Amino acid sequence: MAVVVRMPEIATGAAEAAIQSWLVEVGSPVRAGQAIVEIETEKAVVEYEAERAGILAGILLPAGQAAAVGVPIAVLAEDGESVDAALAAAGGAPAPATTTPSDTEVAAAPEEAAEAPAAPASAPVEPPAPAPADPPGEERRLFASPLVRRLAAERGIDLAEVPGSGPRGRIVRRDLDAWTPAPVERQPEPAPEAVEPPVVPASVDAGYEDVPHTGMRRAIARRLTESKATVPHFYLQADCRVDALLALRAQINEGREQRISVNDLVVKAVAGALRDVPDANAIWTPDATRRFSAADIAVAVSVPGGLLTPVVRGADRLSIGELAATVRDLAARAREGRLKQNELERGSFSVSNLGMYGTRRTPASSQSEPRRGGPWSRTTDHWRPRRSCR
Amino acid sequence: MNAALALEDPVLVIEHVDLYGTSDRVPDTDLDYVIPPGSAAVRRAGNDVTVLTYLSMVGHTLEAVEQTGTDAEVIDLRWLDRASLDWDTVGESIRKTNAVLIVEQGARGPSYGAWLADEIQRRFFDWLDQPVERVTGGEASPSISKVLERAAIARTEEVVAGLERVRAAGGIR
Repeated sequence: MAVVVRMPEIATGAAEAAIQSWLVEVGSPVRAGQAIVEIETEKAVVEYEAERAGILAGILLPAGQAAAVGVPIAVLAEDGESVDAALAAAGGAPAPATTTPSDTEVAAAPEEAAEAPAAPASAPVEPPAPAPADPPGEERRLFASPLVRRLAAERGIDLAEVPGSGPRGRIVRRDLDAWTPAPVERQPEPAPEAVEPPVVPASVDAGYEDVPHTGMRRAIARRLTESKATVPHFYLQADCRVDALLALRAQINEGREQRISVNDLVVKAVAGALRDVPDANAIWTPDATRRFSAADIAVAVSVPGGLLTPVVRGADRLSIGELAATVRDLAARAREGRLKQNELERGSFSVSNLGMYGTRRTPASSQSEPRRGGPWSRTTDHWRPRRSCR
Repeated sequence: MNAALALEDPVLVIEHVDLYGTSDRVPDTDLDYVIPPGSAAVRRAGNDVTVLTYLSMVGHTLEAVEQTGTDAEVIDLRWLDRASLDWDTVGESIRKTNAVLIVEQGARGPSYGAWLADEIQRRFFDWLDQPVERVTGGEASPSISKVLERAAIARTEEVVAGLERVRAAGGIR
């Protein structure tokens, strides 16, 4: 019988993801374990593999479109089953997401409207499956009070998206009441490759134009706001003379092909400092101060349309040459949009550098996402060697 | 007592000595006034937690609710036996508040609230937002000593602590 492929929860806690491209054409056979689709989350592109063999009978969510986790994105037909039969069994629906203007309207409405066509379509396919979408491969037990489970089922809310504030993270009624569904549909982007936000030429007379947010922009804004709201902020500033450091760099770089940047040296220094002062290698979480054993440094990389902070693991243990190579590799892949999700998570400290633009200091914007994705990063440290300011 | 006399069946009336000294209002026209059998009384309406209690602990509970500023619904059960318990009033309240605190004075082991909690989770599982919380006395029965007695029973302070537990479990900061 037909199998519905649902939008997986690629990043822990991610509410939605977008199809970057389909790797298999409709009607083609698919092996179990074969990558069938590239899915773009807020910060990474991940290949998603088919869980079983079959024939790709239909694509329900075309490339470039986003949907909430759990929404059906494709239908697989079993061997011998006709494509049409599979689609019919799956509810006869290349339903919710085709690129027609009317659909965009439906999707723009709050989630009930967008979910409504999808839910009944999938219901007859998997009778034993629970009503809230169950991302494949995700076995984490979700704690929610009995009342919340019932209400969520009634309202069609996927509890995986709701943060819980009760004991041990249990989702209680208050969390459900306070939770507002994430928008199910993003603005369709013209080219799936482009991370750059499409510029929509609004009417020229209006005197302004609306540039739709990309997932990355949303993520940056959300995390900055969350951080400001949930983590106590204080600011310490100091000026350092780095003449000796620059001299050291010149010495290191003599005859080197891959040159060591000052940024690499700063990352290395930060890592050493975190190792020496474990109390500083910590983040604030709702219940405890979390101290890290390793110095995992997030390095801010400017990419078209936003900012990524890939994490250099165990930066204190890497030699300066290894560290420079790692940073270079992460930065290059960040610009290509080819970072994996786990390379963006669990940094304990971040370093960013706007010195080359003459920025002296920016009020450090700590960013933390302690609940689901793990700490994302803590402190942004702006620095600029005096001498480079000409 | 009027109700007990009016009934033809055996009735056990539980009196609490702490209530002997209290004064309250009674209907002045009807000397044969009977509290309707099987009816609980809502002593304070609220939305955040249903507090089920009886006898002297009703007063302590109302005090504790006042002190903590909890929006609690306080129900004086009045009729305690299985056949007469006012499930209509209790159920309506639980469906509104989704949280239950049972308040008793006596020791935890032989307490009345244990079976009540059991019955509540059976009847209202899907309406509960957190486990049924209880306030009781200590492990042991009180002894004849002011200090030991106080240590063994629950009073306003213990109810305050119970309300705080309910608030924490419900995500109320």
